[in-house]
Amino acid sequence: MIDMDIRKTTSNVAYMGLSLALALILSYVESLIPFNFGIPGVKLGLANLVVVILLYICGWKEALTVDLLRVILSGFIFGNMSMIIYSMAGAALSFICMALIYRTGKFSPMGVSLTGGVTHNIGQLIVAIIAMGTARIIYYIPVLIICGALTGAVLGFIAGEINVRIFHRERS
Amino acid sequence: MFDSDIISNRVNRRRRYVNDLILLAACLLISGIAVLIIRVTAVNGSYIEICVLNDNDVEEYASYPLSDEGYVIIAEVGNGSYSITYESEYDSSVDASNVVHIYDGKADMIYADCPDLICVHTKPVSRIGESIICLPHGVTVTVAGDTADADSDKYDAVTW
Repeated sequence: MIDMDIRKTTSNVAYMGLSLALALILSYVESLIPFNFGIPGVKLGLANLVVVILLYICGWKEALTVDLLRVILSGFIFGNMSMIIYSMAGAALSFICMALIYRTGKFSPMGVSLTGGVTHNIGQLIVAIIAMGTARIIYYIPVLIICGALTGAVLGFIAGEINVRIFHRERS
Repeated sequence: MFDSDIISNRVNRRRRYVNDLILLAACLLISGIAVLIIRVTAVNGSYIEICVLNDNDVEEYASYPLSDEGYVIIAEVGNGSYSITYESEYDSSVDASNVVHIYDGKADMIYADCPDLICVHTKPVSRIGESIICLPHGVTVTVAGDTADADSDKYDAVTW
């Protein structure tokens, strides 16, 4: 039993290290693509792919650790302090919502990731409203919800396929 | 694995996809409602703010009431700097980079010599916060509630 626990911990640590490295690379790739739908604040959210996969193959604690670390690290490497605050708000809110949706067991990775995409944008918008001291940018919310839902759903579908094909998880 | 397990797994999977679709529909519905609320609660503005970014990063700024009919003519005056002038009549022979027509409480970009003409194709703006942007010339036309709003609106692009 103890042997199994150690083996599980070791494999989780390996997965976490690998995921963090991949998340940082994806953040970098994302910063290279000038892909913003013409709307400020809208991104693909490629790094969220890693977080969703990790949520399924390791668990919420591991996914949360990688999520927070990748925000801090990619913020210091590619961005600045204000970017870290924005990303952190989005990442924290989206992670809480994704973990809750995942725990209900009633949604596929697509639904989990879709929730993440939408709530990530909402979290960032809340910080933007506080930082700019104007509620006027709430006009962005319909567009942010739709973009978050679409990018989230696509990435969630990919995450689900990766779980099945690479990690040989049961299709869920 | 028993057959019944496979079947129940399949049923669960289908249910999850249905739930996903419900979630997606809910998102679309919420944004639709949000658009409606924004449309209904939108307040018509009383001023139009016009801002031109010169090549040396200095902004040329002007504000006009939406209640009067007239034309705002933005013209290049050399060295990459622009002038903003207000005319009651528009003479199309005048060499302008952008022309904004103000009428019926609305502002419309009626002419631009930029290549993409996105600003000319933008619908007339009348509600507070709506704007027409001509990226090639660095021109922004924004509707404001009153002139006091002018400076509080300059967002810092870096924070996004």
